[in-house]
Amino acid sequence: MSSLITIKDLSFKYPDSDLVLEGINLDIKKGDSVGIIGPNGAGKSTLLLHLNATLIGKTGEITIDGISINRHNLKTIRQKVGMVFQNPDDQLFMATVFDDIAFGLLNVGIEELQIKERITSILAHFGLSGFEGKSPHHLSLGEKKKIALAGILVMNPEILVLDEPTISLDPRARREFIELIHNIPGTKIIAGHDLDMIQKLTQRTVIMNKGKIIAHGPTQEIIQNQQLLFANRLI
Amino acid sequence: MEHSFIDKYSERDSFLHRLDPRTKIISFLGFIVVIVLTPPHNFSIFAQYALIITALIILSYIPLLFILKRVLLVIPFVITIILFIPFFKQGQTVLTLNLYLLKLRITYEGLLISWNVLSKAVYSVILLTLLTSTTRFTVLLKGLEVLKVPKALLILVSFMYRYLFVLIDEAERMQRARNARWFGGYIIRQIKLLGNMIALLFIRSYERSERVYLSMRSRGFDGNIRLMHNLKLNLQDAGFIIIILLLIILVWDE
Repeated sequence: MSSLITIKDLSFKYPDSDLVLEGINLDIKKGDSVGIIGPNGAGKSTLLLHLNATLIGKTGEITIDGISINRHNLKTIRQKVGMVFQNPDDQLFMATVFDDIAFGLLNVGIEELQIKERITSILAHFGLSGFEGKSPHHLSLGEKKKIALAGILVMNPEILVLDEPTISLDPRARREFIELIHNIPGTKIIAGHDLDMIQKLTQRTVIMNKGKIIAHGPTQEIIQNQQLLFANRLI
Repeated sequence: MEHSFIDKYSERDSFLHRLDPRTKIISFLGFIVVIVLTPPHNFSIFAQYALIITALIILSYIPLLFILKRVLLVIPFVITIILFIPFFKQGQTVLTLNLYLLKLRITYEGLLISWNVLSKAVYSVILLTLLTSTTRFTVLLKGLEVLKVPKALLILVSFMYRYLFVLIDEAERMQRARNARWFGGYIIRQIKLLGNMIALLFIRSYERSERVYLSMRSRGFDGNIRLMHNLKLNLQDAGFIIIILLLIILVWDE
């Protein structure tokens, strides 16, 4: 199978910082679940933001499904790559759950009748039927995370990108959320330092540290390499 | 943490709650315009307005105390106007006050203007309170959107509504963190600390706004705001508008 995502020699720096990403090379195949682990400040989130062209690197190239990301094909890329941010309060910006899930669909230009159907079905699938009119600030963190995920999934992205999906969830909510992600078909890229979650959800894992890729391989091998994990502040 | 002081009673079920937001916005704002245009010396008309408003309050199931509290909120602004005008307006003297060298005259015309400001302000606030507390805030925004209020303005208000509570939570957490390490101090130090907290809150909000914008862009936001609604007008709405209209005509007809 050919690669769905190809990252070639990607480097990036924020206006007032050192290099956050340095010479990243990565190939991800269709249907793969890939974990990206690394200590705080390793550049995981910054790398994820490049995948749907939220950030565009100064040097290097990212190709998604044969399309090279540039400033002119943002819309196509963002429909292919769905990004779930770390903090659901940043992602759920509309006043009601319905409006929030509808936001992306309306931007893509989907018919209103179909939007309603899709929202009803995705909320039912997530066990959140009847939440349409609720305000996000009345929801629990677990519910907020599910709605944020629903808002992305409803757009049927080919690639799902999740940044620290299980952070600060209680054990039950965490387990449910992991199961939910597990049951989503398609290509997934998951960043985090919840090693147990990475082990459950991914087949391949990348270790990042200080903006570079340190290791890349099957998740089981990487997780069992205690020396490697220790050297990268992961245990 | 839950806060819901903007539309506290909007989840109740009454005749007014069930009306379409557009009906309420148009009829209440229309009523306010009529009240404002009423000449102040028509006391009987004002009495009849009071009756209509009382009927609306009863229909709304909103506690009277809550409405009175809202009215109290605007009183300070009105008071500053109505306290001074009777002394400055020229006209027929009602009462003269002698305070040593100062001779103050209260005029009939001045009192009339004060009455005008006070009664119209109170009526308007009651009506607006009824409007906002019988309609969920988000539904109210939808109603305004269909009535062609600029979308940029509405999305701004909707963001405010969404993040106000997040901000309050953040401020409360900060205050708790301060109280946990607070062992008394001079007032100057307290004020400095407060300044720091406000600045921090601003920076955090600013950074949050950047993250929110990123998440908007990653879901295809291109600068055009698109909203959808599922509002429906029915017989009740038509009936309500007609009744309000009839009442106003009746009042004016005398």
